Amino acid sequence: MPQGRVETAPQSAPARILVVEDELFIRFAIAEALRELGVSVVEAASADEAWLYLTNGGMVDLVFTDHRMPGSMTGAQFASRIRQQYPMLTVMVTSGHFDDEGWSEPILPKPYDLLKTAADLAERAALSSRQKESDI
Amino acid sequence: MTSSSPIVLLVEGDIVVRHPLAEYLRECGFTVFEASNGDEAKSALTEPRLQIEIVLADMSTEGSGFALQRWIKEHNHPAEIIMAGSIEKAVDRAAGICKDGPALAKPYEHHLVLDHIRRALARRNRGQVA
Repeated sequence: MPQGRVETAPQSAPARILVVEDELFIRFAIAEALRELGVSVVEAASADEAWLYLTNGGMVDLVFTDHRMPGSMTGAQFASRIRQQYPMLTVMVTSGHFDDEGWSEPILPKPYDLLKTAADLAERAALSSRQKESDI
Repeated sequence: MTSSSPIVLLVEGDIVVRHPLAEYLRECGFTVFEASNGDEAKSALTEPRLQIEIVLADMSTEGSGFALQRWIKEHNHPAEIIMAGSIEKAVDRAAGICKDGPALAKPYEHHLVLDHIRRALARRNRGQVA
């Protein structure tokens, strides 16, 4: 796959969100809430794992990542890397303690409202998916 | 976090393998929780609200294998544990679970899951993508 582009799910497929979260029960909860809304969810326990998924041709419309996680990258560093390599991919960063100045875009503070956040992410992912489809 | 469909905990350290396997089991009607290592698996099993009934675990995943099997026995967890020592076995075991799954219409053939995983792994091993 050419760099700078993440393959989009087929037209009839649900929107896809990559959830990157090392806190198991938060990951379970947000992933299940999104699935309840009809979103297809890919779960990653670290930014490294998520990056591996993307660079293996993983198809997503939105990435929702925690900031503080074990591994070689913080969520903000991961988001910046996505910005460089996949500029069309929507990224949202969430954190309880945000300390990275390399990410200037808004972050979602933790704790977040699960259902409201899931609904917002689902809407953004669907919009992103539709935009990509119209670009094809 | 409870569900009316049977609950599977999938323990697999490689996202390229774990995600398609988990999706396949969801298509079969299961609720699937994904753990990327043995510690996550233990945390999930310790949470009674999850009501995990089946554990499908990769033997080579960190903290999984016999250590996890022993831990489950020691903690008298009622979940059935199914171990897989290779990707082929894991897909085969998933197909076995799927056969008894609650979904009336069974999903795609399990060999398609295996093909998908093999292609993804081959792509990664060849380093064709960044």
